[in-house]
Amino acid sequence: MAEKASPSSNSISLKTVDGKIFKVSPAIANQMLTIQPLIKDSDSSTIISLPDVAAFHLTKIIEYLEGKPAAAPSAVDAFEAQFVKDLSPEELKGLLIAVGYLKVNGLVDLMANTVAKLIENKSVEYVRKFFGVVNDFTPAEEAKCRQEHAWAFDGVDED
Amino acid sequence: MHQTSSHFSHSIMSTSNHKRQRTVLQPPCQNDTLLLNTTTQRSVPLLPEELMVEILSRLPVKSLGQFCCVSKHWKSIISTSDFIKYHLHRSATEFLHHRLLGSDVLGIGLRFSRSLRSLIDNPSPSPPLFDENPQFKILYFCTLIVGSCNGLICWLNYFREYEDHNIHYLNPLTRVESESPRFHHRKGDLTCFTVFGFGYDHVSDRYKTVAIYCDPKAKKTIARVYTLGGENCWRKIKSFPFIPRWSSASYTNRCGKFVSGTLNWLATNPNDRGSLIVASVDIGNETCVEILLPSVVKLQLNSRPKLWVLGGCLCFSYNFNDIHFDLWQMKVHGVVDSWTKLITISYMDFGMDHCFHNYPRPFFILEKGEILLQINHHGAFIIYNPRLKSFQSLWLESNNIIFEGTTHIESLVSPCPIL
Repeated sequence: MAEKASPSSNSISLKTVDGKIFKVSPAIANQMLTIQPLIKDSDSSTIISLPDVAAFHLTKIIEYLEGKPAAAPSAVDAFEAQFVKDLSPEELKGLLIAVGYLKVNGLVDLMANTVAKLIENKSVEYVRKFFGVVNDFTPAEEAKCRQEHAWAFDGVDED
Repeated sequence: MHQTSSHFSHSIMSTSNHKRQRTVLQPPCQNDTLLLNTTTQRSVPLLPEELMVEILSRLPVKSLGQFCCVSKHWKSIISTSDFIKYHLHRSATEFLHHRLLGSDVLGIGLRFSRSLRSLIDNPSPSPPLFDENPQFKILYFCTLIVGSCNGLICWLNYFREYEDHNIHYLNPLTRVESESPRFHHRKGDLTCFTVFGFGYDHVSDRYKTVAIYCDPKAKKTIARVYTLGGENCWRKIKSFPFIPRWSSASYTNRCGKFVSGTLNWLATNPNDRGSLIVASVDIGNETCVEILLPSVVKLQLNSRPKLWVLGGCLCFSYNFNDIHFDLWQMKVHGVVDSWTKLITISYMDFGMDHCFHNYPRPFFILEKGEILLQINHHGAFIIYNPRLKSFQSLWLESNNIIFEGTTHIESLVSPCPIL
C-alpha cells in the first residue's frame, strides 16, 4: 500500500522518517493541518518529508482518514474502537505524537482519549516510565507532594 | 536536547528530487538526515506539552492528584488556572462526567451517583447507583444545598435559629473547603423566606453567593453578596425590588438557578400587581433585572411554577390542571421572545393520573436532545425524546438516598482562591 502510486495525477508524496514514500490524495493530505500550507505549492515531483512520522504511523493515519468517512454515522464509534484496539501502549504513544505533529483532524481527540484511558488508573511510576519523565523531586519533596495530594491516593495500592 | 512544542510546528520541510524546495521553516539544512533530530532518536520519545495537556485534561481529578507527583513540571502544569479551566470545560461539555447529587434521608450526608452515562447504560443497582468511594460520601448535617457549580458544592449551615447562618463550600474531590462569614437578620413573615444562590463570575474569575431575605422593619427585600476570596463580608446589592417566591414543599426552589453569569429566582414584582416574574441578578456587576415568563402561560393556583437549568439555559415549568406538564426553555438569556416550549407531557402518558407537586423534575438534556426527568420520589425516571414525543423508562432505585435536583462535575477548582 505504501509505495503504490495513487491513480490521481495530483497526488501528494509524503516521506516518512524511515524512508518510505506514500502517495496520498489531496483530500487526505489536507486533513493533516501541518502540511496543508505545503500542498498548495507542491507539484507531483515534490516530496514532503515528515521527520517525526514513521511508516507504521502514517499507514494508520491514512487508514483512519480513509476508513472513517466510509463508516456509517452509527458505526463511527465502533470503527474508532477497532482502530485503536490492537495497538500496544508504545504504539499508541508513538501514534499520538505523529498525529499531534501532523495535526490530523479528529484523530488527536481519539488518540488523547485512548491514552488518557490507558493511564487513568496507573501508578505515578508507570506514568513516569511511559512518558520518559525524569522525577526531579527530591525524596523529601515527593513525600510532601504525596502528602498534599493524599486524597488522590486513597484506596490506591502502592506498587 | 532542547525541545518545545513550537519546535514541532517549525520542523517540517518540503524537498524535491531536482531542486531543494524549502517551503518552510527552520535554519536551512543540506541533508535529510538532519531532519531526524527530533523525537525519533530517543529511546522514550517525549510528548510535546500541548499533547500532554490534551491527555491530562481528559483524566479524572483523582488521577490528576496522583500525577502531580510525577515531576515538578507536571505539578506546575496541573496547578495552573488555565489548565484547571480547560479541564473543567472538558468535564462540563462531556455529559459522561456529570453525576447526580443525592442526600441521605437520615440527613447526615451528601452522595454522588455514578456518572450519568453509567446510570443510563446500566440502571441496575449493581454497582450501587451512588458511588461508594469515600470521596463521594460527604458527611454533614443536611440542611440546604445552595448550589453546585464548576465542581464546587455549597450548603447552608444554621446556628441556633434559621436567621443566623453561613455557607460551607467544598470541592468533594480535592476536599478543600471554606466557609463564608456568618450573617443574620430579623425573621420575616411567612410570605418571605430567605433564598440563596451560588455561581461563577467569569469577568472577575470569582465565585459568588447571593442571599435574599426580607427585612420586616424596613418592609423591603435585601440582597447580599459574598465573594469567595474577596472581602470577608456580605455586601449589600443596591436594590432588589422583588419578593422571592417558592412553594414550601420544594426545597431546591429556594436556590437560584445559575445561567450565563446570572442567578435567577421566581419572584413577584410588588409594583406590578404581584405578577410572577424571574428576578435575575447579574453576579458580575451585582445588579438585578426582571425577566417576564412566556406570555401565553396563564398560571393558576395549582400550577406549581418552577425554574430549572437545562443545556445551559434557564427553563421554566408548570403543571396544567393536573393534566400535563409544560417545560419552556429561554434560548437566549434575558430575551423574552426566545422562550421556546421544549415539551408538553401528559401524566396519563406515563401511567399516572396526576403528579406529586415536586415532579416531574427535569435533570439534564442528553446528547441528542432527550430530556432526563424524574417522575416520582421512588426513583422512576424517564428519558423523553421531544422530537419523537416518545420516552423510555429508567428505574434508579436507591435505598435511603434521595436525589437532589442538581448535578455535579469533577474539577480541580478550589474554594480557597489564592489572593
